[in-house]
Amino acid sequence: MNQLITKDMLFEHFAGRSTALQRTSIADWLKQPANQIQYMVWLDEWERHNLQYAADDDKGLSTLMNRIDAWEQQQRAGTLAEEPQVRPLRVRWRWLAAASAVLCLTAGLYAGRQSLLYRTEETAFGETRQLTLPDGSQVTLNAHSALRLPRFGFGDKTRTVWLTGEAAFSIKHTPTHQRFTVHTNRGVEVIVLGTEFDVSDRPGGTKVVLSKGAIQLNYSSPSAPVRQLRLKPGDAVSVDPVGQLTESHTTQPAISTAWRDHRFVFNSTPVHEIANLLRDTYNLQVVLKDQALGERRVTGSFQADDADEFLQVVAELLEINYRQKDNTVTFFE
Amino acid sequence: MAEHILNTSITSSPFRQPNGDPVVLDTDYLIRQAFAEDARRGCELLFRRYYRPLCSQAVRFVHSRDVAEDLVSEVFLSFWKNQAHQHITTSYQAYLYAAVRNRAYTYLRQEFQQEASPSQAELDRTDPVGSLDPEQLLQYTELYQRIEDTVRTLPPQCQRVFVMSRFEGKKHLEIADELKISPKTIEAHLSRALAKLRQVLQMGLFFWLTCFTQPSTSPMAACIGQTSVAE
Repeated sequence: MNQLITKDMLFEHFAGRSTALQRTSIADWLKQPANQIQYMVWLDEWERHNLQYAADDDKGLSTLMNRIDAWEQQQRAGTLAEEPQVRPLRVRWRWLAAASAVLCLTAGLYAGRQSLLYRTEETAFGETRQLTLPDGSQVTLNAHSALRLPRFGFGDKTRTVWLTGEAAFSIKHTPTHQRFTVHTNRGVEVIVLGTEFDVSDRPGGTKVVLSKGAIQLNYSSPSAPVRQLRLKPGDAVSVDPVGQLTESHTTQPAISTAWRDHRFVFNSTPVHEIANLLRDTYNLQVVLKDQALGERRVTGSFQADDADEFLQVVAELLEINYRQKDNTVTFFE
Repeated sequence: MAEHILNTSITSSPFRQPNGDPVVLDTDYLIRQAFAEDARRGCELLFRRYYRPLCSQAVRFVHSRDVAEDLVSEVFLSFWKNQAHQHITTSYQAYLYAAVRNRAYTYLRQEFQQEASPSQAELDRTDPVGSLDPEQLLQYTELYQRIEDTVRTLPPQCQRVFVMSRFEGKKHLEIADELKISPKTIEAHLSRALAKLRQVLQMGLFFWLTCFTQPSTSPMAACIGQTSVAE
């Protein structure tokens, strides 16, 4: 089938003269990334033969170069203000003092603006809290988590919040299709119109699980360009502390938000993951007397309202003992 | 006559294979070399090579030379800002076309669906990363065709006014003068053309808009990102 795709056929397609059947074979052919590149090669060639008009590229180039210069100057100004000056200060100190005063003032205003324009909802260890956002959306904050949101409502452009920790979102679709964006600390951002999903941004990694609807996830790490992923219900994406992204699928996305009812669901979950959970949820440090314990796995679902209940159940499931002293729990055989 | 010679020379050129299997050539090779030696020089070569066809492609969507040129220029600026020449290992050409089409589409959506205009950061994020979506490639092609068909089926005078005003960027008074009609009539023609386009554009074409090319972030997000990195 693929051999049928020729340049002539694509030229006809670009000109809007291909049949529905040809469209199907082109779509099929385009599944190969190399063919996508070829598509653009021919699109470019076709466009050159069928120019709508001849744009003035001298004028265009000088516009572009001006834009680039302006941007670079702006960048340079940014780094100059940040980097310490090594040159003799005698001549420039006044200028520098003025610049740093301006910088401090700007930074001060900026910092002030942050706390003026935004408020933060925080939960303590072991606490979960249900919030209703200004747009009617529901958010449940898991223990030891914080959600930063605009103090005076979302405005009419975007709905944006910043999450540290874990939260389950049930986002209302607005009549104006306003996007809702969740930012996390590890370069993951989730963009939705109206849907239900769970975001967890903990020291051990960031994870997004979608229960309903569709979301777009943007992932930007310092080393690579932004990646965009589309998630369908049950899809999960996690990013580990070193920035490695993995995609998976679950048939029971509801499990990701079971914590809202103080319910914990484990499916062959290793003990070291439970240790992370205890740290993130109850601020408990887990010490393993025998390192082999860390590889043991727990399966089961239970409800626990506090750390004590949690520990009792887990110890029973694992058939181990534990001892708690302040914020440290020791597991032993 | 001249046209005839031109045609034969194209089909018989040893550098083209009219019906051959797809052969992917790295057409960007020289430009890559130039980027390696002097980024600005590379950028200029890239621009000179693709600016015209990209503007031509963009104008099929937006029907305004000014908008098309601005949009293509933005794509190159974003290419420069992100040092994209270092990240793109496959084809600059494919990247540029994909980016221009994305931006043209975003522009149309904003114009015809009365969306809030996206910020610079949002626009930059519409630039393609990774592989392209086959369905999206086809739909963009069909989109500009649909727009062309719509413009073509406008009544002649209405079409003339639309093209003069949008594509050529002429002022209402100039058009009124040239066509000997009143500025009021021009407005009527224009709103008729735009209503027609709006109607066509809203029909079904936007089914993947909700979760596809719609990344968003407030300009604040960039600052937040930086502070958390600094910590």
